[in-house]
Amino acid sequence: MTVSSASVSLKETPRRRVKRRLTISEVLCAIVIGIAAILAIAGPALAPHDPDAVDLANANVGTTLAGFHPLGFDAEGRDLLSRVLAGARTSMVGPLIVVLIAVSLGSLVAVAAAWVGGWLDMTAGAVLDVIFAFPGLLLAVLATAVFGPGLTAAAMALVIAYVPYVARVLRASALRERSRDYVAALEVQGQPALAICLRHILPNMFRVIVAEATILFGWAMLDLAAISFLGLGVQPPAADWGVMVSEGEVGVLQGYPGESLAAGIAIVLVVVAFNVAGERLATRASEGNR
Amino acid sequence: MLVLTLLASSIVIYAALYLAPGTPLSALTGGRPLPEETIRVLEQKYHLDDPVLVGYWHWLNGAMHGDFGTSFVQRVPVTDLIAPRALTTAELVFYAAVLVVVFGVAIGLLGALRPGIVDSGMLISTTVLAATPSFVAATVLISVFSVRLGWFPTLGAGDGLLDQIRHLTLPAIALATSSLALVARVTRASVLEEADREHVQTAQARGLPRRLIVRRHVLRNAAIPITTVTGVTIASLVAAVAVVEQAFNIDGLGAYLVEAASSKDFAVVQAISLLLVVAFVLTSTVVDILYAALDPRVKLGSHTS
Amino acid sequence: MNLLEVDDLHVDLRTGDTMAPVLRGVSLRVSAGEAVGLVGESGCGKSMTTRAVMNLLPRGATTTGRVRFEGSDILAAERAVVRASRQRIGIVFQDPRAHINPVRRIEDFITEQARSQGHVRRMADRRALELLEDVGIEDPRRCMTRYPHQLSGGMLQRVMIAAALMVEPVLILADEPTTALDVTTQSEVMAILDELRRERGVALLFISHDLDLAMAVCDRISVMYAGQIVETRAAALLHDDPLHPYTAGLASARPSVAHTAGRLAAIPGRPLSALEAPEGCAFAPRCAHEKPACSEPQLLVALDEGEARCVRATELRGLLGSKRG
Repeated sequence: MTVSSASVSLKETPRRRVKRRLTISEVLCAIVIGIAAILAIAGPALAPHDPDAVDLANANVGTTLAGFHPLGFDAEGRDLLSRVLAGARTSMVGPLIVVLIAVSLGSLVAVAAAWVGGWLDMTAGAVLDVIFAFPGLLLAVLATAVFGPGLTAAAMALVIAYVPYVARVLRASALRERSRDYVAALEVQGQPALAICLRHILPNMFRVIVAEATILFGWAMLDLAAISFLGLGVQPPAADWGVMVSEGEVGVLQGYPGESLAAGIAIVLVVVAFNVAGERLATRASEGNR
Repeated sequence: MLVLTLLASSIVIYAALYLAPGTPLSALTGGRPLPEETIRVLEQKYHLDDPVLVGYWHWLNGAMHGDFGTSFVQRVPVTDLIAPRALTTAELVFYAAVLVVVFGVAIGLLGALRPGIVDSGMLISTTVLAATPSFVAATVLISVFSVRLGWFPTLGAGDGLLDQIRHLTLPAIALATSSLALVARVTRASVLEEADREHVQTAQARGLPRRLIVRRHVLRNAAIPITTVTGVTIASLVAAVAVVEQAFNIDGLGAYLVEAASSKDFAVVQAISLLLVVAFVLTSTVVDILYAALDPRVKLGSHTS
Repeated sequence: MNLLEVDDLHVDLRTGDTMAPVLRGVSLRVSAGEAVGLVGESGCGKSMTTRAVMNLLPRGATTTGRVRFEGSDILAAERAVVRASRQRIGIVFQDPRAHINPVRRIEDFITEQARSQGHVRRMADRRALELLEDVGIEDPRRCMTRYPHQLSGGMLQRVMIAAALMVEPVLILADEPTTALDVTTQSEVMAILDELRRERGVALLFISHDLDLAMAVCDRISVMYAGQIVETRAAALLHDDPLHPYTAGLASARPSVAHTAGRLAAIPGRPLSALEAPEGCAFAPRCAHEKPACSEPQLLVALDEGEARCVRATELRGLLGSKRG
């Protein structure tokens, strides 16, 4: 009995193992996203201490079990765990709003462009191409320069920057849906276009839209955190993960990286979970379309 | 198309002045009280009394000739403020881009050609790194390599070539991290996909040596998607550079843009935004040209959305 | 001497956690200069047989039995030996568009193998030009500078044939070489392949689902069903005097010019895969001549210069060929 090793060994590792590993990672993602969701809702309430209570006597003190300070204190003696928990809400509600608006607008543009086609498709394409020339972060900085620092201006700028990406991905899926036989059948029956789009095409694109939104959430979170880190988004002393990394920089130089690291790890964990989940959802959606 | 995009984005950048709450004048001055005379000079210089399009034309014309107006905070021509910083930023982005291309592709290849532990380890670590924002990477790098080990200076851009390389190493790594991970993943996926193609089977059936098959058929073909993604990622470094410069206290364009945005030094914001957009769009165009050069099936300009 | 000998070859492929059989004891020989056909419906294992001959089975496939090419055991040989053997076999795949690298020029594709063996580019180019002319390409020089997407399917298949002949192979493996082409191109390409290999005395292993086509170009034909060979016979005898009911079914499933008036007798049911095959005759469920004895394991029985895997072969002799009107 010989086992063939003929083909150049470039292929995937045996399928079984890949599958099992992905299942574990899927479960992990779901857990992280679940915890993140709970924290976004109840984070501030779960904080064991007042996240804004300054106590310079405790500045940069490490893990202290007496009084339950498992992550220790920041440079101003505020409880780090409480600040991470309290920061969860601002850090995640921002991206959530950005994603909801960007995906809604993007879906509308995509379906409209795919349905009407012709001039609308061309115009939308041209406008989106111009927006493509602006990286999201740059547009956000520009917006804060015009409207003053703050989450709202930055978030709206990100929405504008993301719509082209969403629209481009969803347009392909909308076109595929539009070319299906059932759509032609509905049109022949004299169903109004709007009803076909809203009741049939959009719902059938649901999986693709969810996948896209999940991936986008990770991006939005990174970009918003970066803006807050730059001092142009959420303003200190509010607890926000991006702001915390920035505030912790002084500590980093003095050898106390606790604050920056705690907030940084929180960001990375949530973004990894959303990225992996988004990729899986996208694969499933494209498999389902075949 | 390229010219149109650039023109449209320059309009957006200029028009932002008119979007700001208050008058364009107050946006330009950032609301600072100025003597009557200065205001008159300003109005004339920026053609604020003329229609928007005329003002835009003068601004664009100046920008094309390297004149971006005067900074209100520093009272110095914007060009003099920007030029030295642009050099630092260009060096940083170039350094990071080299890291992304060299290590991103190398790590991706390693994963694709060595299935098993190497591949799994690479997959997991790049998943995490791809989600690591540059400022978090900066924090980790500073606290490990500068503060703990003292191998690299913490802040600033340094003088002289060697010193600059030393100063820019950690910032370049921080800037490159997530892009590098992304490029590695795309490289791996493209190589594996290409290795499964029928034409690779033909090459095997013809008894070609393995390294020849890998180089001439697998890598050569995978180079097409890899180039596209790498180019787009490198272009995005231009935007992310602000964060890294801020984190490492490097006095470059990005950090200066943020500073100008906070102090409402609008002439500077416009100038830097325009420069970054031009850099971004030019990089993307170079990628398109490379793409067409690598894939004989593509005619230049025929694959745009 | 036999150029290629396949002896009792079993191949199992991994599907998920289980191993699924695809070949169940295939034996086959091709001697120098001979043209052998391997005919069967899709999924019968004929393509897997060619992949085994090239030692190109999918990863995780397990094999028993032997494949000998010019005396060396391909499945057990070292990589260098396998490569040397592959270089003496020219291969023509079904879909030239997928099987030729789209980003390299035709010149590169045709001469690559020769150059990898150390031939000078100029010599290789000259030979490539000759061969392109031989396969009926009108402007070989221009063709050499083109990319695959600039050529039609028929042209590409000619290029593939020319490439297969570049290194003076002793055997050509042609896996459904004309199936992806349109009907008129099919016969031209087939004629070119047949003529060139005869001129050069190259042996041919021809894989097809088309019995009549195989009979036209082959000396001997093996018919496969569910991972086994059910009949091997001289091509000239197969159509009018088949030994196995399945061969008879294949022969009458296709209209031939002489019999267009008669009814087309399709074989009822669908082909079984090797995985689904019962212990006895795999064709029995679809066979009009099934008897209780058919549920016993069937052996290849030698019969009149051929062999058939059918207990009733002797009994049915002469009845099968006359079935058609």
